[in-house]
Amino acid sequence: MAGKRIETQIKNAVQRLIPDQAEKIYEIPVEKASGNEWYLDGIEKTGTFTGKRFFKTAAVFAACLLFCFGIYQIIGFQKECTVYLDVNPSVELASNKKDRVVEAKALNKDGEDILSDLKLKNTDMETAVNAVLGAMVRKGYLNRKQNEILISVEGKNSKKVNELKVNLSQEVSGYLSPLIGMSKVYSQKIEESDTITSLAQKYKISPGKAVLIQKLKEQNPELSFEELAGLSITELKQKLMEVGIYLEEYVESPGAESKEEGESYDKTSKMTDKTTAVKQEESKQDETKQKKTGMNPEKTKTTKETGNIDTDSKDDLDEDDDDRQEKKKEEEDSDSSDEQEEKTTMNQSSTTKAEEEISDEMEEED
Amino acid sequence: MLVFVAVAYGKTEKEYKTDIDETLFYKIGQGDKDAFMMLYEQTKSMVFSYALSVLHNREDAEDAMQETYLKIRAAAHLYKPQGKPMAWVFTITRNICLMKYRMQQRQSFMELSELDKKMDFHQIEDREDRIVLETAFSILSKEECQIIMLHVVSGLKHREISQLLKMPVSTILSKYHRGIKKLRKNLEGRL
Repeated sequence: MAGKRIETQIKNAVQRLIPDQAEKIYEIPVEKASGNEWYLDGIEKTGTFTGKRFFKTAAVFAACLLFCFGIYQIIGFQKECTVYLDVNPSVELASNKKDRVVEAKALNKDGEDILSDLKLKNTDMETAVNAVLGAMVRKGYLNRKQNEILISVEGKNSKKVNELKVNLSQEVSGYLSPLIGMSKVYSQKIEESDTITSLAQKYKISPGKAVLIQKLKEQNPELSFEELAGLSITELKQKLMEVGIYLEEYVESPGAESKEEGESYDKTSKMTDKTTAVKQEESKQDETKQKKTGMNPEKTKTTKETGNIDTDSKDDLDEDDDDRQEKKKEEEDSDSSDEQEEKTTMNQSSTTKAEEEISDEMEEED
Repeated sequence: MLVFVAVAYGKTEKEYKTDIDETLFYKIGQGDKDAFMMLYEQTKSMVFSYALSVLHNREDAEDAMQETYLKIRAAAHLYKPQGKPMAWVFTITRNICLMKYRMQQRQSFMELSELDKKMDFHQIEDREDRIVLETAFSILSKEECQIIMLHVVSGLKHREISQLLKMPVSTILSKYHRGIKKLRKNLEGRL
C-alpha cells in the first residue's frame, strides 16, 4: 500500500471529524487572562531576558575567540629560524617570527647536560644563546683551551638567516671574551636536506656539524665522517690542521662578510697563511725603507691588519692594487728623496771642505 | 508569462494555512468576531488533528479544541507580535491537550469496553479511511502519530513541525517516515 495513499486516507478521515464550532465558541463568555495562566506556559514573552539565547550566543562568541586565539598560538609556535650550536655539546634552538625561542633541543648527551638547568622557551634568541654558552663555560665545555664554537643557522627567510648569523657571531664573541678570553666563533648558513638529516641522526650530531663535515669530505674524500663527527670543534680544527686543511676555508668567522646570499654553503674565506706571509713580508720591507730614508712613517701605508681573515672579494683585490700603487709612489718618492739627500750631503761636505780651506788660508796668513 | 508566474506563486487559502495575520489577535482581544472566525478557519485543522493525535478520541479532541479557542479569546490581548502566531496557538493547544491526557490516565479505573468505545470512529463513513486512522492510533508511537497528523492533516512542513515540537528536523523526518512505513506494513493485506 503506497505511503501517499495512507496519507490521503488519514487526511480524509480526520477532516471529516473536525467540528465547526466557531459560532458556538464565540458565544461563550470568557474572562480576560492576566498572563500567568497555566495554559500560557511555554509562550515566550517579549522583552524578557532569555538566558538560553544569551548563553548560546556567548558560547558561540567564546568558541570564535578560542579559535582565533588558537590560530594565533599556532602561528606563534611556527618555526622561523633554527640555530645549531656546536662545541662538543650540540644544542638546537628554534625561534618564531618574533625571534622568540619556541623549541630548545639537545642533540647529544653533553647537550642534555647543558639544557637540563635552562628554561629557554619564549626567551629572546640572543639571550638564549648566551645562556647556553654560559652553561657551557660553567660546566667546563668551553674554556681557554677549548674555545671554538660553530654556529649554524637555517631558515626559509634568507635575509633573516643572514642577519641572525652575523648578529649571533658578534654577540657570542663579545659575550665569551670576559669569560674565557679569546674565542673562535665559526658561523655558517645551512639548508637541511634528507641526506644531512639522516647523517645527523646516524652520528648523533647537529645538522650544522653534518653540513660542515660533508663539505670537508667533498673536498677531501680521505677524511672519515665517523671520525670527525665524534670530535669537538677545537679537536676538529686541530685534526684538520695536521693534514693541512684549514677550517676557516669552509666557514665564516667574525669580521668576514658573506657577499652572496642564497647559497647552500657559505663563501669560503680564502686568506691563507701564504698570503698572510706575503703581506707581512711587504710590511717588513716598508719598515726597512722607512728607516733608510728617515721618512715620516705616517706617510708610508702599511698593509691591512693581517690578523683578520678577509674574503677573496673583488673589492679587496682592488684595495690591494691601490696599496701597491701607493707603495710604488712612495718608493719613487723615497728614491727622489734619496737623490736629494745625497745632493744635500754633497753640498754639506763641499761646504765643509770650503770652510776648512778658508781656515787653512787664514792660518797661513798668520 | 506573468500570469503563469502569478498562478505558480499565487497564494491560495489552502497553501498558506499557516500564514496567520498577527493583527487578528489584537482584533480578537477587542472582541472582533470576524477576526476570531478567520483565525478559527485558519487553525482548526492543526488544533483538532493535534488534539486527536494526543487523545485518540473524537469527543475529547473536540472538548480540547473548544477549550483552546476559549483560551485564545481570553488571552488574545496578551499576544505580542513575534512572527510566530501558529506557535502561540499551538502552545495553548498542547498545554490543554496535555492536561486532558493526564485526566484520561487518571481514569484508568474505567472498564476496557468503555475505552474501546472511546476509540470508535464510526462517524468516518469510508471504511478504509477509518481502518487506517484506527490502525495509526493503535500501532504508532505518540510522537509518530502527532507528526503524521500535523503534516498530513494540517499541511505543516517538517521544519515548522520541528519548531512546534522543539525537535530536530532530522528527527521529525525520521519519525514521520518510520510511522508511514509501519502503517504500510500493517495495512498490507488488510485493505
